[in-house]
Amino acid sequence: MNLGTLLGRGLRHHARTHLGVVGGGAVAAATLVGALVVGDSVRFSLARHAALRIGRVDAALSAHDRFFTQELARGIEGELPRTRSAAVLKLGAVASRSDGGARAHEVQVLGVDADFFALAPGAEAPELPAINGRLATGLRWRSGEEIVLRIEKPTGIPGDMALAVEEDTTAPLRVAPVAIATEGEFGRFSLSAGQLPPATVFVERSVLQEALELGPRANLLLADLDDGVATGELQEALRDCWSLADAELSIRESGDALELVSGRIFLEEAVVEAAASLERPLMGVTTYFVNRLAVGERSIPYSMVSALVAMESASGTDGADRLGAFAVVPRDLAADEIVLNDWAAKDLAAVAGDELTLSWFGIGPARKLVERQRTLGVRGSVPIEGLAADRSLMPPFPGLHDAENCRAWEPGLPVDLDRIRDRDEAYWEDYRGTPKAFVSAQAAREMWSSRFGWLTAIRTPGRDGERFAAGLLGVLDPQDVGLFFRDVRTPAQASGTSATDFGGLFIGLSVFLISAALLLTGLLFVFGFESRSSEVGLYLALGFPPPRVRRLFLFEALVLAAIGSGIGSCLGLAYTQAVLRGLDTLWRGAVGRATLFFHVEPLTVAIGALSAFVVSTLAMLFTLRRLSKGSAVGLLFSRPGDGALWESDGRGGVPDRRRSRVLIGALLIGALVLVVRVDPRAGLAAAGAFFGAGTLVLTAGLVWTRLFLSRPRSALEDPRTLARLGVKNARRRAGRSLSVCALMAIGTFLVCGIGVYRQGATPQDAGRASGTGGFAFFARASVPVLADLTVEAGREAFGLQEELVAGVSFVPLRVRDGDEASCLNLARPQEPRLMGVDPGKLLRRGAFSFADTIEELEEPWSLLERELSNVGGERVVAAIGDVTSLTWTLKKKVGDELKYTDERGRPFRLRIVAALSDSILQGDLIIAEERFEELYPSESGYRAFLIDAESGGPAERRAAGRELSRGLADVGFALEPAGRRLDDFHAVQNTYLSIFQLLGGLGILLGSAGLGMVVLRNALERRGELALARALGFSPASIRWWMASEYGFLLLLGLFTGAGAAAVAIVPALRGAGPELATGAMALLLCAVAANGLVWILFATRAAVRSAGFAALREQ
Amino acid sequence: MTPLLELENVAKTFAPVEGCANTVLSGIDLEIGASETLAIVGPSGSGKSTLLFLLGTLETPTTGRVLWEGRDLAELSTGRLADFRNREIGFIFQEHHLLPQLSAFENVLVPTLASKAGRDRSLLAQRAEGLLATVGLKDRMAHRPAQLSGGERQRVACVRALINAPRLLLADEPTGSLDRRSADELTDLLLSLNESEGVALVTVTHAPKLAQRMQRGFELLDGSLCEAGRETGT
Repeated sequence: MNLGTLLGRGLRHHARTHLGVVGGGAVAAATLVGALVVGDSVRFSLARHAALRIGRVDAALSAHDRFFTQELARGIEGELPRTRSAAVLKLGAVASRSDGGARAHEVQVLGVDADFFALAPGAEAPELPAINGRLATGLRWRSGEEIVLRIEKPTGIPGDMALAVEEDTTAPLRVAPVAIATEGEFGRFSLSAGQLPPATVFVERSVLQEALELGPRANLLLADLDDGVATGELQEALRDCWSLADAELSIRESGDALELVSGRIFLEEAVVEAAASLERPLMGVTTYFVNRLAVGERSIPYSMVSALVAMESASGTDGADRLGAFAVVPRDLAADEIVLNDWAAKDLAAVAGDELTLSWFGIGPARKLVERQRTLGVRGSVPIEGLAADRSLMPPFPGLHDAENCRAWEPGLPVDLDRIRDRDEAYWEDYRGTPKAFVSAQAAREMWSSRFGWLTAIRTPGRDGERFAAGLLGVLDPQDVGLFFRDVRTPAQASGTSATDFGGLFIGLSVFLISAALLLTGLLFVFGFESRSSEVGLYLALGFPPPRVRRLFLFEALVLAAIGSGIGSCLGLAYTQAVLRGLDTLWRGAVGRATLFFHVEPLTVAIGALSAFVVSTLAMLFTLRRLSKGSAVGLLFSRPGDGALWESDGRGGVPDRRRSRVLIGALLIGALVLVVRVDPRAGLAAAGAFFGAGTLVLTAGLVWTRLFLSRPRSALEDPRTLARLGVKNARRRAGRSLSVCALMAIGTFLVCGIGVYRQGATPQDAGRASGTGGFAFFARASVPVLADLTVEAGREAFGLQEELVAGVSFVPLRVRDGDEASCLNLARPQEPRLMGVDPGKLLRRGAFSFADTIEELEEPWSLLERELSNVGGERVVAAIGDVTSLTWTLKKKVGDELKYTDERGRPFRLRIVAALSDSILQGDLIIAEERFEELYPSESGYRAFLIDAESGGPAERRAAGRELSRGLADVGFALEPAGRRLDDFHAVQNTYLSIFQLLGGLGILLGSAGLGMVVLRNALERRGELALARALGFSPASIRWWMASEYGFLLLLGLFTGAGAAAVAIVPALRGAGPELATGAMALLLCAVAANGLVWILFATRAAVRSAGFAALREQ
Repeated sequence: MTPLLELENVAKTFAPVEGCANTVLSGIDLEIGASETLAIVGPSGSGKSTLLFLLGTLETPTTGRVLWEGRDLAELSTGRLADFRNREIGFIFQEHHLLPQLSAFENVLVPTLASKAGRDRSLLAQRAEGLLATVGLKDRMAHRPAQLSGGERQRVACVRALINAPRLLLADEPTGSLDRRSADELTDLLLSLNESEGVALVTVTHAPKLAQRMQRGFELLDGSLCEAGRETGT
């Protein structure tokens, strides 16, 4: 016989009593372990998605609209023999079924070869052409069917250049997929973080190149690095093996000179600087297509005008001289002078000193074509000979250089072919694009310089092209022309962790259920413990020191907690399965349609089980804390429920009334201050205010309840009615009553309060300060839109019916692809997608409202134009994001910075200067368009649009939307009503709230069960009392009413306290523009909670009254 | 010679009810010698049990002193007092208070688990067996309380009270819930144990037969204790 025997026998003997305790502990453990394993599963799923989307790729060179030679991959492998690489042609597209039955936007078309699939997760290759599962599902594709692609057509020059062709920006390609690429076959390939793979088409690279007339070029280079090789070494290898062709540069012979030209028309500044650093005489050339040369009434339409630039190089400034430039233009040609060739001078009848007006198209803000003019003085004329007769001064402008005649011109500019005269046609036939005039370098730069550069060629004397090329490659860094590798594995691994800790989230969502289970555990334990009060008394009487008695019961609690945690842990795995099933079906909105895999980490289960064990033990220990104060004699002769165990210090735990009242006042004032002062739009702060104010009011309510329940009872007061007697009785076991009240109050507060935050459908006519910004639609294009949709000509280009879209206005946004940062993406975004906007457009509209700004401003959009000082040598750019994305997905706030890399591989920082309140701009960070162009000069056109249709009613708006979708179908214009977009984001929040309410509801159910048990327990303890009442002539119905009024009173106290707390806590939400008060739903919930509680009370009282037979009288 | 236990002017007052003080005992003086047997009688509510619990240190006096071999027990800490009670005092209650989950033998051994002091468990087991045999329960040792008669349970409770070889045995209405025959047997048993174990015996009882068999007799009336022929308090 030892303490162990005593413990074991006790456990066995009271097994039935302990069953409930173990059950409560098991529920707590199951919920806790289940929540943690949900976290494991989400983490595992995201890590798996991340691993599947990049396969064996460690680094990638993404050149976007630049196209390097596909041989670069071989060159890299030559430099780093154990590195495998693949050159991929990656373009955006829109895909549709050949019968037009379904369409998929933002499709990635990958021109690949076997090298690509060697990097796939399973190193397996599907038969080509192939599509991935997402596209197959989206198009409802069936084997053997063809799909039609409209692929972004590489134009060779940046789309934002004035001369870029705006129309026909897509090329059609019909493919008949023969396979669906599996995950092992790169079916999830993507370089952006996200749980959903982009819809993808895989075709032979050569097929795609041919369809796009691109030649053997690619724009994405993937590398699987040998162990120990860093991305930096890969960049070194690139430096060693690349060629000018990879930078779309070429050197051609032009007489006795060499000419460096770019496939992108203008030479980038970095290239010009590199050339200037060589010890070679250089001459720059720039040639531009002008609309008109006019002197007085006479004018010449559509001509080339050049500037021959004396460039300074390491060898001096005599390049232009040696190449005969000054035979064409005077050395001292001023910025306001022009030299005409003989033909033009004659046509214009111009002589030296005449004023000539030069007109040309430039690109204004928002990619608007703007005709500009400059007046120049005619310096003289030159014969069409020598350099002045050099046709190659005209770069290969698309739509011009290969035209047989002027009528066949198709430049990217509006050309009025009627203005072309016969003599112009004759000039084109004789001289092609030979410049008709020459201006100074300064004038050319001022007129035609853009972010793409200003020189169209650099010439140098000699025929040593290879030496010139080698020299250039020696000084030019591939990074300067946008060719640089970036590590994709580290960000992918980082994105493999969830932006939201789902384990923590589900613990948060289940906290009330866990609390209810623990309260139940504590209550049942204390009931069991109380029934053994005489045993405690005996131990004390026999000389057991109180700590030893406490330890004895503590061991018992530990064993019960351990059994509960063990059973609960197993149940927790089933709970996880249920939650994952819910997330896959009912709650799909919460996880952005991600597929989640069940995954268990033994350590997590151990942590969950241990935590549940600890909290269950604590819940039980809480009931033992006052044990030592019980008197042995009192305990020894006590009966269960007479409170002998808790006899204490004489004050009987009665709270100080004055202090309590002061505390209640302070708590209520604190709650009021919180709800009045907090900004309802400020994400975390608003959430904090809800819970803070709610907790304060709840605490105040419970302090009052405690005060009420412990009010000294007058022994001589006539209770007058049974109900009053019941209320009086509720004070009998104040501790139990308070526990039940607290449980009901907290449950009511959470379930009802949270319900108010459910977002209803966004009204169609939501104002400009709303989350839609007052816009009717939000649209994304799969292929950049170059045409200006705000003008009729731009709309005509897409064949839009003017009468349907006349009242429509657009705010176009530039897009730099990156990670989706909205709540629809589970993965942690590493470099969120960027959008460039003209802040003035949104500022003038007063669109959207702000949750927070870096400084108080009337017009926070203007913050985007702020020039911010560099930090650590890195440029800092102002950015605005949606408060939801910032707070929950990016874990950032106003004033924080994010690190980015620009198009040339230069690091820069985005500083959050303002946060938008709950808006349709979730998922992206917004910067000023001007900054965007500087950072990503080659990102041309617009791929996102905020669209307003103010002039019409809902029917007109719908018609306009349909027309835009139809007209812009080829660019994959995915248009959605702004309200619906906002509702989609809200759906995530609403889904979480639903989960919370469901789990909270389960908690209330458990709490109500606790209430029922308290009722039953109390009734059983009072069997004699109830039996006496029957002996005195009370009917069973009146006894039930007596009991029900007692516990109904407790239920009502709990409900009112919880509802009061919820009413105060939602004040910030009501002050904000956000949710409408769902009073009906709230009332319904309250009624449901009350009804549930009443059912338990009635059930328990019925059972108690039935047990209160006259035999119970003998126990008195 | 110093008495084993001595009460000096002891009074006990409980918390007032509706403003009226509730004095149960007042001015009690009592000396109990080693191996002495005493009976305390009195009407219901006279404070007999309270007096017994004061003697057994389960209650503390409101005023006055309780001395054990001349030492004031109020000087002992709660832990030491529990240890003292475990070693020196044995209790027998009207209700047996046996633990239903344990056998008779195990119930007897429960008091030996109260202290951590290293004791030879086999000796204790032998003693338990011996004592149970003495009270005629050798064949019933493995039985649970529910399987024993009322008299047997009370005998187990007696053995439990003696397992630690206390010097004072306090019995509160030990025969109160027994039939006459069982009551007589228990009385015989208590007196024989007093003799064989040398333990002083104080019994609170309503049973005149039991009281008469004690060496000394006291009556508790209105909070005062009167020995046969003299009053010890007012």
